[in-house]
Amino acid sequence: MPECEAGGRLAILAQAVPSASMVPCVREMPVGWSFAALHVEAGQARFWLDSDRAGLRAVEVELAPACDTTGASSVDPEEDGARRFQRLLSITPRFSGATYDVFDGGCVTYRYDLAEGAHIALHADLHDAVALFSRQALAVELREDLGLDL
Amino acid sequence: MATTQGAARSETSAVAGLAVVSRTGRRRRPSGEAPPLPHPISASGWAYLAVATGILAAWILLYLGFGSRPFEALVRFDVTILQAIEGLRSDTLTPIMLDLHALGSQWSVRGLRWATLLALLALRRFRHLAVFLGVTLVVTAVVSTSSLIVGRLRPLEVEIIGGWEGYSHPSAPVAALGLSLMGILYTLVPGGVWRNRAKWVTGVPIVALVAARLYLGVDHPSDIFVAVVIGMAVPVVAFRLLTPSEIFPISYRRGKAAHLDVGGRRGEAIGLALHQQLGLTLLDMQPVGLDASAGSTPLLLRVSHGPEAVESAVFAKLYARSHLRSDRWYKLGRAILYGRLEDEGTFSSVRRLVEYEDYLLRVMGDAGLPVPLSYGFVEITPEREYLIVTEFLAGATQLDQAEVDDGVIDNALELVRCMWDAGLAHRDLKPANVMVRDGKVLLIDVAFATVRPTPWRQAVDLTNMMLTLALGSSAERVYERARRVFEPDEIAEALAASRSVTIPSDLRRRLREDGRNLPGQLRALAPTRAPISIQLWSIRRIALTLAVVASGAAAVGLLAFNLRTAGLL
Repeated sequence: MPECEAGGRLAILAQAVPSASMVPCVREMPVGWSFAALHVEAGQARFWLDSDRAGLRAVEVELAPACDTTGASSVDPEEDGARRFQRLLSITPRFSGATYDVFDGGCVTYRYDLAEGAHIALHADLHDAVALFSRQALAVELREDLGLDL
Repeated sequence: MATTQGAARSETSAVAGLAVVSRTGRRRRPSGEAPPLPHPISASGWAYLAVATGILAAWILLYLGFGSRPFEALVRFDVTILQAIEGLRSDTLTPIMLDLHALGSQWSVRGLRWATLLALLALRRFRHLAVFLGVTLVVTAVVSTSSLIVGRLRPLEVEIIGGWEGYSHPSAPVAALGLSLMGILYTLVPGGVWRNRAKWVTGVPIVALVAARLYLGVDHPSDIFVAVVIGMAVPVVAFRLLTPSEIFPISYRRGKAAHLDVGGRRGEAIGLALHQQLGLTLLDMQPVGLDASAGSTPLLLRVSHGPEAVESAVFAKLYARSHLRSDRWYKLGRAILYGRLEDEGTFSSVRRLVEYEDYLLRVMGDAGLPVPLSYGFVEITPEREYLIVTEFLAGATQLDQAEVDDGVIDNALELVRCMWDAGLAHRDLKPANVMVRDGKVLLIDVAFATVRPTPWRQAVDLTNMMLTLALGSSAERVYERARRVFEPDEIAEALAASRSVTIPSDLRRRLREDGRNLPGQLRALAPTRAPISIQLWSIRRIALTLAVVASGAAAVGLLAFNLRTAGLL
């Protein structure tokens, strides 16, 4: 699980998208949520979260060099240095759509498909659980740890 | 000079006049001394164990949270090598390396594995297939688990110019390609010269992939080293342990798998064992009667013995663990299909199997039956290989090659009566196991015999002997002579107990070739009796059947899951 702390497990996301100034990480897993899987390859990184209420892989978090935010609404960002957009595909019977955090050299897309009713709490849980981690902080840690540059 | 028992037996043996070899100069193997054919761990095996232990210790350290600090020197070493290789990059070389990199792609590996799997199915090498699937599953699981435990970054301070996926350590594509090629090598290529040549050939794609990944900067050298250890050495060890060439040889010539190669180290070990344990000096050894034997490797030995080095011929049968396994599967299959055919348990070890044959030879000899005299058995490798040594019936011929006159028929039928009276059943009466010498009938190959068999099993023995005799004469003649030894009702019971599956396959084949419907002719002569059902239901049979069906269903489910996990689907 790419936790929000400096180290190899998170830095490999930065390696996947070398231009990205931030990488997504798991800050604290809310009650009822669990980490499902991580897939990382040259050019992109994705991970999924399971929820006991929203189901398996209810949320997908993807890091890519860029993303298409055309038609998405701008909303208040949670992280400094990032702009946030939201695109809702459906409100009922399921709350589904995507949120985008756009920053220098990269973009994180959060895709969700949540059951109506609990979706407000689940959506809030998602953004409590996932945060952005600075590439610079990762690089500093690796330099101290291994003497090598990210 | 014969042993006390050997001398006593020679005087009372029904096979009068046969030579009994002497046993002198025996030597007890001192404690700690290796057996004649040891299976020690080789130097390369120890080296592999040491490397594997080192890798495991490193993984544990990393898992326990020691981070990468203890491995800083290794990291720097890796980067230094990669930077040196990076300096070799050129516009000409890069496209070539990108092409070679495709050797480790999922499609290449999947293609190789499916081709191997289908070839093994077509060749009916199910044991190799099971080991191949098992090793693929284990190695894939170890690679993915260790990758998550270590969570190593891709190389730093080197420009990565090739595609990659997941953590860096160990190199999954190298492990996958190595495993697939080792699978082909150890399941499809015959051992010896061919496999040694093929090793060089399989080394080419591995080296090419390793070179490409280092050139493109996607793996560290240490990731590749560990991948080679896991992906290539683990399969080699598994195949050597679970499908050793000496027991499960890869061969494209026709022949029975039970027969072992008795040349080389095994040949020398047999000579040593005979000398130390029976006091016999081996002069020559030839496989004999392989076509008629599926459960062991029969041998004709020329030995010398005693202070004057008297030469004699003895017969021997080499048993290994593979024979035990085939016996178990054979009995399980028969117990499920028919319930009644196999009324005895399986052997727990090859030592028990050879002990049993030795015991049966002695019991039958004591009962006055003309069976070869047993000289005992020798241990080649403890719990793995044993050689039983018996008298060689010089001058005897198989019943189908001898004149079957009334005297021979009477003698053979009296032997069945003798077995009935002694509470014995041979269970494998067929032309190859009934010998004739000087008009007297001799019985061989008592490995399947039973003490206190069911009456049904004894009745089947009578039918098989009558059919064996009728092949060399006629049903009418055999029936007429049988009435002198057995009551008509006993003959009718024997014929009613017989089915195609109760007749040894060799005898069944000969009856088919003969074309006279001898079972039908014998039944027509005997009093009418309803067939005796061979289907006998018991708790054991029901439980076995249910267990096999449940295991089969579970295996199919697991197979599908495993194929997916192992990258075959």
